[in-house]
Amino acid sequence: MVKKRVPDWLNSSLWSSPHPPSTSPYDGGEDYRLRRSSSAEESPVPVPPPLAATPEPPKVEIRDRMNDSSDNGGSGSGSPSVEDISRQAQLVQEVINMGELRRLASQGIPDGAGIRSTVWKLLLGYLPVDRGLWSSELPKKRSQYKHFKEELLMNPSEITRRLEKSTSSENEESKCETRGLLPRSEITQGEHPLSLGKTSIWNQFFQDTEIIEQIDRDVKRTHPDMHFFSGDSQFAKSNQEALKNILIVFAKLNPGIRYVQGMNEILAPLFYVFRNDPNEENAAFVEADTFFCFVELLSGFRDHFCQQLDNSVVGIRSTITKLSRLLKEHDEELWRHLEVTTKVNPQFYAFRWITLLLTQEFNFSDSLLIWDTLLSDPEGPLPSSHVVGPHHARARLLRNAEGYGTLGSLPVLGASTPLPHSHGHGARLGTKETLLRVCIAMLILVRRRLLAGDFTSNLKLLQHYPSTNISHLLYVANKLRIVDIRVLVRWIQIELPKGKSKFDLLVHEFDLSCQTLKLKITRKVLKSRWGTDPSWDHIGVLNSNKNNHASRSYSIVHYAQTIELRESVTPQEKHEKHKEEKDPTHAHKPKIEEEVAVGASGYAYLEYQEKKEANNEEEDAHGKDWNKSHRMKLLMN
Amino acid sequence: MVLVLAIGDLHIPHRAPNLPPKFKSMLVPGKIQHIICTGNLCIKVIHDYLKSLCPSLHITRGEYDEDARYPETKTLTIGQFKLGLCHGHQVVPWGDLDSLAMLQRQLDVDILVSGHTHQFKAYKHEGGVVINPGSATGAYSSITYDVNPSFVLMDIDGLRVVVYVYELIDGEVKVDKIDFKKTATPATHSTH
Repeated sequence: MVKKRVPDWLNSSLWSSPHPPSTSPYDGGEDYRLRRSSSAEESPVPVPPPLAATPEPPKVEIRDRMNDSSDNGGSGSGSPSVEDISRQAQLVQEVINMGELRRLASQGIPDGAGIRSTVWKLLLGYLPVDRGLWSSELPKKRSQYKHFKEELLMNPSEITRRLEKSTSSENEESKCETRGLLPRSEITQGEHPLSLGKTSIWNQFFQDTEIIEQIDRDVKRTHPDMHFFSGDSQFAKSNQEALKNILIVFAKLNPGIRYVQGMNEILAPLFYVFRNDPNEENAAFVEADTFFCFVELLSGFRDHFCQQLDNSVVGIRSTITKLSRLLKEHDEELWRHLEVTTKVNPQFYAFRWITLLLTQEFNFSDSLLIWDTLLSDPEGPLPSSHVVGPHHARARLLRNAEGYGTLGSLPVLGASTPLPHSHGHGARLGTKETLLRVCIAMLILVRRRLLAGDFTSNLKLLQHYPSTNISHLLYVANKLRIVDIRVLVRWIQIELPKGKSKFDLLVHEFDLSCQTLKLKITRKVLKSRWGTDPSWDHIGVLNSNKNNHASRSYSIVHYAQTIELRESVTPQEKHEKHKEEKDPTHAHKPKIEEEVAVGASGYAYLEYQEKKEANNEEEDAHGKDWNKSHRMKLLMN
Repeated sequence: MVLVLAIGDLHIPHRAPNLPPKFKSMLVPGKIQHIICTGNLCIKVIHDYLKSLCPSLHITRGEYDEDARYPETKTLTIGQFKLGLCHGHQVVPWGDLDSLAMLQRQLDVDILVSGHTHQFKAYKHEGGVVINPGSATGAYSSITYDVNPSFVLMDIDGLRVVVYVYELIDGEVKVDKIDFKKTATPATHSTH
């Protein structure tokens, strides 16, 4: 579904208030949905007329909210009604279709509906997909958090007191009134407040105090312009207290990463959204819910916060390099201007964008919208973590080949099949990709100003990113999506006829950390598979940039790797072997670089590269500035 | 959970050059919230040192203190407890518990901290508790034989106090613990 224009609900008055009067139908929203699943046809009275017209599955409520306040009636309600009629059959299950939910959420969750909290909890995997399990899962998690708090937020006096209570009974009460020397007792295991031992709870307590102070300071500085977070009101203070507790518990449970400045910024929107949940019960347990969702969200990004991993493959530097590479792919001119001409190193601006998930770049409500897209990420977990059958891939690819012209309407992989578990490391990898795409979109939107500016003005612009139309930004980001075609590979591996043992497959890039495989398929293979001469766009293998023509021609010439097929190997094993063979990519690196360089725009670049390398070699051999002096000598002679 | 250090009778530089190194290594800034010092430091250097451990320093005058501005007695409230501080040379006979109890009633405190005898004592009577932290340097005393360096750390937590006694016996730091609770004070107390 392609958004043709900005949906009007985005601009409606519902934007500013978290609890507008029209949410009253949704107060019973939870009950409404439960009732929906039990009784198929009837729509309960409190529902406003537009909804009552067509009984809907819970996720389609989102779209109808959109239609409610927009004039998009014609085109908007046309497609949903067709889809929800087909989906009504699924309603009986009470199991939420995560793929659909993701797709809808990525277009933005309306502020007024009060469902953002539930949707985020579902997207982050906190709430199980099966609604029936909610009432059993939630209390479990909440009591777990309570245990954590009790255990970890106790100060050592209380700990010693509890230890004593368990060992000796209260026999001192009897000596209340007598005179005499107070009895001296032994201390347990050298536990005294001035103990310097590493295992001493007192020592640990004092060491933790530093972190607690740091957390306290950061929490007080979170969003100072919002009454929700700062100020002297009781409400703000209790919110700050809750934020502090969550961060302290997290820091204590994760001694490897502890607390790093910036985690409070990632926590703030989560807490805000969950606290403003119209469901009273949820709002009461907001701390526990936020804690688990925070852990889940951070699990994909924790490597950004670990200083030792800065230079590693998973660290922040590598992500920034990825961003830079992505920019180069999508908009080479801008990339060149930024990095080469004006030397604006992406680290200067992208660091904050990436580590704080864009919370600091836009105002609060805009960043909630961006988070809708980031968390939902329609591609869902990457197919590598699940077994996707060949027929899914084939169906999707056929769909690709049939009706798609431009890149704007790329198919969404993995969306139609409900996946067995939707959280885990795989899920957050998609978020990282989406985040990078949004960053690229941000750059592209201001490209004219960037191209015209020098180092200072560009840096200033990027570090104080101008406010912009968020839905347009997300639309651009969506367009940049590159289809993950690992599934395509698997499909080709499975579908090739028995006689053929090798096929021409070009490895374009294997990115170890996010495990996406971008492949170029030679025209020969495509011709044999589809029988027609497909254009690149149909497959959507490459994104549409100027290098398109060049890549077409040189992919026939260059082979980075050929993959052997053996019939006895099962698809799963093939995949494993395929992955294995992918690993020694350094063997392929020179070829990859070469083929990237060659191409219409690339020849000049290759030359430049070679010259640079030659220069470097000479410098290494003779020392710096040798080149200059050598050339000067030549000139003078 | 308030940590209060009770220390005194150091007699630096007259009778001892410095705190024992083992004590010194344990006393680091940032852990203690209050210091109450019985007196006889004697010089400003030690006063500054104690101040660096904790800015909240309460001190009473001992007979050898060079700073004459310290008060004779002091009372302060920490948490639910009222603490009284006095060097102890004013209370005659020195170290006599009945006389100290008199002083405690006079100051109207729950815990009286006094020194001068250079010997650790923790004594309970109807009026409250008397604690003598002893001498932190183990300085010579004319009334006590075999002085061991000692000091006291109190952990005041609501109505309960845990007293940790640190003593240096034969070169080793020995820590003991004393627990006592304060009975909740009655709501009204009739006075004549």
